[in-house]
Amino acid sequence: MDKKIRFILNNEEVETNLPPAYSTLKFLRKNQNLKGTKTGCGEGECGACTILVGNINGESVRYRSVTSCIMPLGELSGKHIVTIEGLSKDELSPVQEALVDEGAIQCGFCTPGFVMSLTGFFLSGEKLSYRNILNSIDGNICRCTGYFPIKRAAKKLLEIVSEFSDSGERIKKIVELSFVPEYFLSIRERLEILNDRILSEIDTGDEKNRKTVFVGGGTDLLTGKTDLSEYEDLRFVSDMSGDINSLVKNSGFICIGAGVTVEDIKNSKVIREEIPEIEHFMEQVSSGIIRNMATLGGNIVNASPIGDLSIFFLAMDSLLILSKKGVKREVKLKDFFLDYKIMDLGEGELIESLKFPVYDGDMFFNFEKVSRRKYLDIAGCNSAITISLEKNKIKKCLISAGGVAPVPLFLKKGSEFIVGKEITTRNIRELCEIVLTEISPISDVRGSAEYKKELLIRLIYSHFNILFSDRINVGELI
Amino acid sequence: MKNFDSVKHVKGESVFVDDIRSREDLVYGVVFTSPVAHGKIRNIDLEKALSVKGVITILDHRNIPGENQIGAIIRDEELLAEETVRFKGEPILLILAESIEAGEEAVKKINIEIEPLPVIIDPRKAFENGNLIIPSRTFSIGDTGKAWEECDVVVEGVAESGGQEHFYMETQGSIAFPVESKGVKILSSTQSPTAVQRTVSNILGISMNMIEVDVRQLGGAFGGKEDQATPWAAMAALGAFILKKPVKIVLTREEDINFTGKRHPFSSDFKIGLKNNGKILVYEATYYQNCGAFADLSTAILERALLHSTNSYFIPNVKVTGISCYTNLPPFTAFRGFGAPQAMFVIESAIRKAAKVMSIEPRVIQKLNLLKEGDQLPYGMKTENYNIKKSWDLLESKFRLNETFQEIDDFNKKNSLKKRGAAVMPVTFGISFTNSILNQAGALVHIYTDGSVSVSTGAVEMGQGVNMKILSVAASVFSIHPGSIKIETTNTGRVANTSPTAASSGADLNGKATETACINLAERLKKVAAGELNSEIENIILKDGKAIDKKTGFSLEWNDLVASAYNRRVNLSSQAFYATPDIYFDKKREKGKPFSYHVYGSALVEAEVDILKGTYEIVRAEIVHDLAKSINEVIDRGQVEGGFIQGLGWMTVEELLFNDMGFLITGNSSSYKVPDLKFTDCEVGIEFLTDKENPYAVMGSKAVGEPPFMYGIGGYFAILDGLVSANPEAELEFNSPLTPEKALLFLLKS
Repeated sequence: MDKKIRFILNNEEVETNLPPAYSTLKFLRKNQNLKGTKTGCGEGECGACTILVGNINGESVRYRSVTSCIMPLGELSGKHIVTIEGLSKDELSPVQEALVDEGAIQCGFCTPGFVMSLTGFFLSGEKLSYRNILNSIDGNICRCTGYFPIKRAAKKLLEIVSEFSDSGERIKKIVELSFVPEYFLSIRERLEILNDRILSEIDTGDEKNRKTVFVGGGTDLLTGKTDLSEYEDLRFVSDMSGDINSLVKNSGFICIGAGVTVEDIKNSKVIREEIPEIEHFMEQVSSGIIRNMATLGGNIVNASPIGDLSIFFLAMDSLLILSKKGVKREVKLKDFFLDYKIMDLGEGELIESLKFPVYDGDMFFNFEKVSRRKYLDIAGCNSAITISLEKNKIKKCLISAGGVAPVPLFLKKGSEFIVGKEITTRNIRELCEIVLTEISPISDVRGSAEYKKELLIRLIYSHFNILFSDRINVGELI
Repeated sequence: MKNFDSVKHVKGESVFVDDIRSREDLVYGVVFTSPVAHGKIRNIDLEKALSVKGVITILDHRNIPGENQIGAIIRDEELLAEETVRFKGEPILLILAESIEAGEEAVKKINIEIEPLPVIIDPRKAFENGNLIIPSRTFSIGDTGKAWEECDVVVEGVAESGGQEHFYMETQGSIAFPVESKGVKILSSTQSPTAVQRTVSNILGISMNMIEVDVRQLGGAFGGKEDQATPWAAMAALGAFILKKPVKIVLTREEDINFTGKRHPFSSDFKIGLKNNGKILVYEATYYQNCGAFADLSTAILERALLHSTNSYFIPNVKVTGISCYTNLPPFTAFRGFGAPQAMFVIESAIRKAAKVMSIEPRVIQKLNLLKEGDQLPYGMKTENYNIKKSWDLLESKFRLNETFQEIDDFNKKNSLKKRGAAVMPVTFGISFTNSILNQAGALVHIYTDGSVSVSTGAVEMGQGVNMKILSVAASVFSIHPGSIKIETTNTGRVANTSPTAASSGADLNGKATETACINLAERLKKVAAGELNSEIENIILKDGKAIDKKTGFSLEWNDLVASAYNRRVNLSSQAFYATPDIYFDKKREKGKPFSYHVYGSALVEAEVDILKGTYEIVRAEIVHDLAKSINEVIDRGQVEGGFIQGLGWMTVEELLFNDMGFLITGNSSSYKVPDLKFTDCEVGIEFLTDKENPYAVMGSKAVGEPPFMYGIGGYFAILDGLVSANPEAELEFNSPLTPEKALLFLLKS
């Protein structure tokens, strides 16, 4: 018998024998009869099922908004789960009131999701800014309003709450302002007791005969799937300790654990020191409620030819640290992808972390992505570039391209060609001609092969335009 | 006044179909559909599927006790396919199971052999093959033959507009309960309770009075649940009827996108003739309407397209032809605008092409030809209480229309890698079902002995705020606090023979019926008050929760008044009816007065294009819109803003890609993209025209649901304008949606 999954759901402790890969949304709606969390798409694309997940973080509880449809139940062990029912009191909360007052609600089906994401924003401890509050709801689709009144409500909320102090005090303040009910104050303590009990019950039973599946954020695990039989033994990266969940800089490298979420990469001060635009780049990766779940390791191991993080880090000379039962090895990210969805990854081997070198002196970096819809979409083509210069000549150049090959592609020939050359329109044009020999795009739902070719060239132009518009006029290339 | 519905939504307390708690013995229906777009069913093997644990039974067309027919206008559509399948996703079997998972498992285990037949996805090809729903229709005015000779410029071209998935947040769904004496009660997410009732009656072979359809609210519809909610309700009813247990069918998102119809793609030819000054003398167009596999509402949609062929322009000589073509795609259906957006896209394209040939600004042609009060439209109706010119002028005076174009020129001179463009989009939209019969509605109002009020109508709440508007009507007639009024579910047992809540007319029709019912009750109450206050009925008014004698000032509280009416055995219920007067249409002559009135307005849309990447952004939008006397301006603003963005989505990123086999390759939410929160960064400036009361709708208001959708067409031409600035030599193309892919390929054209 599998062990029970225990967590606090709203104000009650619950336990279940359901399999760890069971959809949290189904559990909430079917098993718990909590119908306020809606089924919109079943693949994390619409946010109608948004809930909050809180886990102990120091002296406080850290809450994230996530899409429950693709959240495996096993991920919730020892955590606090909040649904719309767990927020609502007789009186409306400021979030609810702002949405009502601004006419931000029409059919109402997406509304609970917006309430959860907005409340999650105030709980999250993110800096209170208009940009950040919009990022918190950028994965919630509304088909009725055109979002204008929702944005007005968000603006209004920022007028009500201008500042929060840190950590533990924040939840107190949020309770005082009636954003969440009073029971939130006792959650930290209750989670601790619960987690102690879970630790004491740890299952040491037979693991040998089962195939272990490592789960990062799980955003791909349940997408469009109903058959859970292949997932008998799930190991959640978020439950693991060590490097896999840390993000640090040491001895000339930045090391990012495979379990670090895209949202944490986006907000990382350590990375921002090296890549000041990190926030802007990462905003182009999915949506807030997915970035809160999706991990670096998950995005890489998915091996999608268009994976944003793969493309991003391919241009940064990154190394992957793989491990299996304590044995570690390193592989260059550019050598990791062998063929469509085939990787240099052994049975039972796990991506533990990724590291990339920090350079002295000026390094230029840029990331470009074009998709049908600008945000919250899969790229037609994406590309990243790292360049350093020495006396007007390119000393180092690394370019990657997604959506133009069976794998996330490191443009080896193109990158090598441009090294030692000056940044001129002629050299860029030649670079692109070489790049065209390296790629093999196919026509698919993201665009025609012809388009992807042209687009990649334009993204390369765009890299140079953004990084070196003082040196060349890219307009001459078109 | 706040929309009272919002409060339950924001607390997560609203109950949609899938949220209804049912009985223990609930059975789940999962639908098995055609895996190919066209073919003959040769064999179906159910053995493996039936052995899946939890599967109760699998129904096919032979299990239908009545007639296997769901076509609403033209009887061409089977509920469960019998011999031939005509689109990928056409229902063939209904699996009834103890869980959704069991049903889905069974779907995978069904073996079907289908002999393929040729697949046609192009309406022009269907036309060549003679695959038409009805003979083509032509609307004309003046003498186009002669007019061409008088033109200085004649331009011809082609305009293609893509379809659009509704993407209502709540997918299609229904629960049916068996009730005694072989009846069924159906809870459905439908815009048309009566259509469900009628179709189920036909399918089950029982009379309509044995079927009760109840609708609380819809999580969005936009036309997608006008006709296409019916099959799922009918299948649930069939299951409940046969098993004698409640049956629920709720489609997954992917099923919904793949099994249901969408906005019709149109492929159109146009020809326009002008004088050198920009005056349009003559316009001809042919619309090839891609109807998909079944007629559904296509012929009505084509009719509305023909009625809006000249948008907001007066053109003396017009000849427009519409052809409804069968293809092997999902049956395309109603979607906000109902054909009018497609027709407007064609004339706007024609004007752009003419402007380019003539080297003048499109807006010069647009403004010069705007309809005036009393002008005759190609279908014979004249404009009345109409002032589109005013909306245009306000764009100029309040939103700096002319300066905007100047500033864009300056911007484009200074910038080589970013270009801006703008477009004006005037919209004139006729209000009423073009099928005049449907312009009727009923209401039933009860006053209970404690003074609280219950209102039932035929209107379905789907986010458009019709319940709040109807509530306001009742509150206004009775002059009581809105909190004591409740809008009931839409139920065929309480209000019969309802028209669909569609054509923007929900509040107009049902509000009027409610008003009449409330006035009937108010008159009875005034009489009671006159008795209680020893006065005459003429002296009594209802005001602020009281009946007041104007002369003496004596008054009676509402609650006491109601109690006293009850004690005097006065009828505290009233049923009332409304039928829009003076509308008619003669289909032989294609002339008449199909609309009660027109809604109009103008939008200015500005876009910025990234010339390197072919990406774009809408950076500014200003709208002047005619509301007449709004019942609730917050609700109306929501319709204008939301409609505009939905229209923009249709024109830009929402792309239905079908392959040659008739497979929808953008058939899920990770490939079909509707506008997201960051789709536009700008605010929309909105100026409402509210100075005139509309004599033809409830409380002086005007319908608002559909017209703003068409402002989004301005987005297409704003982006195109920006692209043309970067590549002025390229020949114009009119092929929506204008995705970043098409934009870049346009920039690369020589």
